[in-house]
Amino acid sequence: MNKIVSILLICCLFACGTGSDVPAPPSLKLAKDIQKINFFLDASASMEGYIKGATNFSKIIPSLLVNIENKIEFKGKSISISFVADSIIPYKKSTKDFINDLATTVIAKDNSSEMNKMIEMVTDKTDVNDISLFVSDCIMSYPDKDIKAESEINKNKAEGGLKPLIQMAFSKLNKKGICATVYGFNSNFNEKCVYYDYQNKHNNIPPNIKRPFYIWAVGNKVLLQKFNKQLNDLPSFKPELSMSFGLFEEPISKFDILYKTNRIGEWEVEDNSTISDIQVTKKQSVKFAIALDLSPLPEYAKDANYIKSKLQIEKKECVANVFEVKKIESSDVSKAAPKEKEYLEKATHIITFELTDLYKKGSITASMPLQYDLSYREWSTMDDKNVSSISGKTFAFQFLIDGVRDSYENNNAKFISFSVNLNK
Amino acid sequence: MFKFLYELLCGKNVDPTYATDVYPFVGMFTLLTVLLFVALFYVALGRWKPVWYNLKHWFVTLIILLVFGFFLAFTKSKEVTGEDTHTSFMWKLAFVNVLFTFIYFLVFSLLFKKISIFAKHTPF
Amino acid sequence: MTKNIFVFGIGGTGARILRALTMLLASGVQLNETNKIIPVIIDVDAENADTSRTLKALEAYKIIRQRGYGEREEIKEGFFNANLNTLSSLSPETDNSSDKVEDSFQLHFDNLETTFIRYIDPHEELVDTINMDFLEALYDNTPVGHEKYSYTELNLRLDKGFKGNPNIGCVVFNNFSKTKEFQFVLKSIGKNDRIFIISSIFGGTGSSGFPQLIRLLQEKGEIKNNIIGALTIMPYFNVTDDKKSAINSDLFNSKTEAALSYYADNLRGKVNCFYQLWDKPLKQYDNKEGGVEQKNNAHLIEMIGATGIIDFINKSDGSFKDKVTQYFDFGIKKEDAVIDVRHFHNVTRETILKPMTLFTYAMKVYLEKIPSFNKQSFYKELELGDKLTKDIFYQNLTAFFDVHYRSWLKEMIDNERKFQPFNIDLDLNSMIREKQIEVKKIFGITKEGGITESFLIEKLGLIEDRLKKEIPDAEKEKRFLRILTEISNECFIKLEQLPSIV
Repeated sequence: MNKIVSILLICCLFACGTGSDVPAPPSLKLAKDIQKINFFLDASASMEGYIKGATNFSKIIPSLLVNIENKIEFKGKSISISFVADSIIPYKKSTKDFINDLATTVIAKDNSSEMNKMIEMVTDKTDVNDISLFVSDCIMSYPDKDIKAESEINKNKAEGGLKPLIQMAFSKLNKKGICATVYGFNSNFNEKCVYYDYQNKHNNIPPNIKRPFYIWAVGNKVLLQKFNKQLNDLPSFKPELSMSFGLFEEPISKFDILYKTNRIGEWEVEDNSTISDIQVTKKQSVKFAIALDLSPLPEYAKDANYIKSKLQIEKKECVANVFEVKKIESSDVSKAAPKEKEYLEKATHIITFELTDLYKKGSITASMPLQYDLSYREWSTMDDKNVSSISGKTFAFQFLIDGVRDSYENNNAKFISFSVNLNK
Repeated sequence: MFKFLYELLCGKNVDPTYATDVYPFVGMFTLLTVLLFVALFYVALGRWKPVWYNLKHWFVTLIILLVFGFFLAFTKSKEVTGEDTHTSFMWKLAFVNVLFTFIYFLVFSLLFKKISIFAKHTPF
Repeated sequence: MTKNIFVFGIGGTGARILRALTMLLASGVQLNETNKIIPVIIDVDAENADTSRTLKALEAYKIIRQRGYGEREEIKEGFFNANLNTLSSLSPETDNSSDKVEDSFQLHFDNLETTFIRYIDPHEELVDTINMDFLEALYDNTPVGHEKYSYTELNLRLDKGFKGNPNIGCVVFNNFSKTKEFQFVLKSIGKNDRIFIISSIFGGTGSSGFPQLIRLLQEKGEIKNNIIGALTIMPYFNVTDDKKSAINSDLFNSKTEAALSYYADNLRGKVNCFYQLWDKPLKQYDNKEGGVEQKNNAHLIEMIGATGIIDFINKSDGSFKDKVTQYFDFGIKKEDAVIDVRHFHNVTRETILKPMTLFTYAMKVYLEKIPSFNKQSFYKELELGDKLTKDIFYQNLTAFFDVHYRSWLKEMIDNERKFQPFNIDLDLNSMIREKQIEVKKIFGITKEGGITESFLIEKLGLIEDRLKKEIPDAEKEKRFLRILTEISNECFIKLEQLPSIV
């Protein structure tokens, strides 16, 4: 009898021990750290004006490269730099040499470049655990010969022709599991260099006119988020525009109920989405707080006031409202219970609800619709012939971004969506 | 089940980990330990040799178990909630567990004493 | 063939030997194929202290056995297993209820509250007749008016024993046969039953009664063929000189010689087994003429005499020869100032001394240890708290152990020749003389403590628990007797074996 029992026990131990995780299929094997950082510089002729001379561009880009190599954690440790125009031309020397060469040699040679093709080339070179940076002025254009054939083609076909091309290019990225973030900067343009308008006629840009350039960061969701955070932590990195695509496919629905912080009234946590034994009367309302991790959201959507104004509450069998929304970093959480501190470490925001009436069993469903910041439209113009009117604007930029949006579109249209069940 | 018993005497605590972790663990461990000791006292020792069987021994066993019950509840509640110091609720819980330990011991004693040889009339 | 045994103990010696027999049977000595053993005390000295002591022991035995084992079951081993019972417990062959006898172990003589002369001649018809002269010639040669006149044999009060005068005893015994009790006895003796008669040669009552009894029994046709055994004890003590007493131990030896030759002539062939015992008289008893003061201490010889009875009972049916008397005596291994277990040969060791040892262990455990175990669970299970003092069974058991058995052992220790098999006042490890149960210690820690209190508590607890399943609560006394038997066995295991002479 005793023998049988001990044999059974040993068998149990073995069974437990060998329950390892199912290995992921090789193609989706996601690493915890960034394996490689690629840097692609648009080498089309229109870029020359940014590179040459004492432009903002020529300060930002080298500084970025240096910071990345020094401050950001990635396994490759040196950035692999390439030029991209018709094809990808790897730059074989060091980053330091590149910075020197940027200042001294002529980089941009080719004439026009097709955005969608460049995006596709970047896509091909980006592995699932890489971060790729693509610096460009993002001016969409048909090839020269098409413009010669029809001079208004860029204007007329921006939405119908160019945008779908962009959409397709970014869809390829999406299929590879790669998301994108675009950062917009303004720089002065070297007045000696040429600017080509939508009819491919060249102009010079006066010194007071700012020309935007964009840095695209692409990578898988987890690594890109990490990378973005690190970028944003760099004190010298201050983009004037920032938008992310694909980083938040699902609305944020996870939350932790804080049983002590901001607690008013009698209630008990029953499970991680239910509050029970609520004692609420007309005279005595009840407050409870939840902690959420909203880090995947774009910066504007993380703003406490933005959230408070945009958060919609659907109430069932109860009367409730959002009492307060606060970022954790600006809250005093020293008095939180130890268990709560664990939650607060993983979260970014605290939302406090106020419940003033409850029938028997109810729920609060909170959601914040996904709205893109449309400020990117201000960076767009459809007529760049008059150079004095294009400061801070890029031709057809709106359609470029729309195309990117479309490729990452999903039916879900919410940033945040969660439910809290309430029982009396 | 244990949740009901403890909340009955201690009142509810806002920290839900009491109900999910502390009460079941402390309740079950206390019950099983008392059962084990009672089985040892009445059956293993009580049927082998008269070395540990009379009223005095019973009281000593009881005291040991009460101390155990106290410290189990006291330390487990601090460990699970992660608090830095022992709260008054933890003290209350520890004393309530002492009471439960006593009740379990008494009930099991009365049930098991029939099986015993030397301890058949312990405690009465 | 199962049989009843009738044991007649005549006179003081008979009573004392029956007392020893009672002790041996209480200790569990086994009787083969025996149904009942009926002791009958025949003593005219109604107030004899020896007799009353024996009667009390027998009564206690009977009650203990009745309460402990009940009437129905056949018990063949353990303490008090022998069915020692009174005459009236036999179902008589006659239905006549006027034949019922008193439930007593003693047979009474009638009309003894008088002098010898009055007994013979109650209505004084013989005075001044020739028969009276004749009687006087026989029984008295003291001149009338002599200061000792009232002490002559004729003036002997019969109810105080025959005071060493067998000639008087014979006369009285003759009338004995006409008593209702004796008739009852004759009717009760069955075909296979055996008879045993105990007497002393030198005494008054015993020496006269023995041959008379044989004769009376032989007269009854049916009994003529029953197996008869007899035990006579020859002088083993002296009494102090006391001129006022009718007893004179100087005359003991001459009386012995006279009696032995009489037996040899007249009893040959009538007694199948004749046991004879003697020891060199070493002690002088106080010269008491009888009555409550004749209380002699128990003597080793009496115990040995009792073993003779047991030997007789356990003989197989085929070992007797018709009309031939077999003679038996008893020897020990060596003479000593103090006789103990070692001095006996193997058969006696096994059949008599081992049971006595067990019984003595039981006595000490019962009297000295069990009362102090009042907190133990076996004690409470058996409800000894109340019962030890209030229940008749336990009261009798206590009396038997303390008043009867313990005294019996002590008397034999104090007597000459000393018989001290047990140191009854020492602890259980030292109880057997010349064999100490060793206590073994290693580095000061007791490894083997012998018979200790914790040993007893453990064994008693285990035994009681086991027997509880066999013997239900309705029969707690029976269970208790079994417990005593088993605990004494456990003590004996610690002893390993009885001591022997190297």
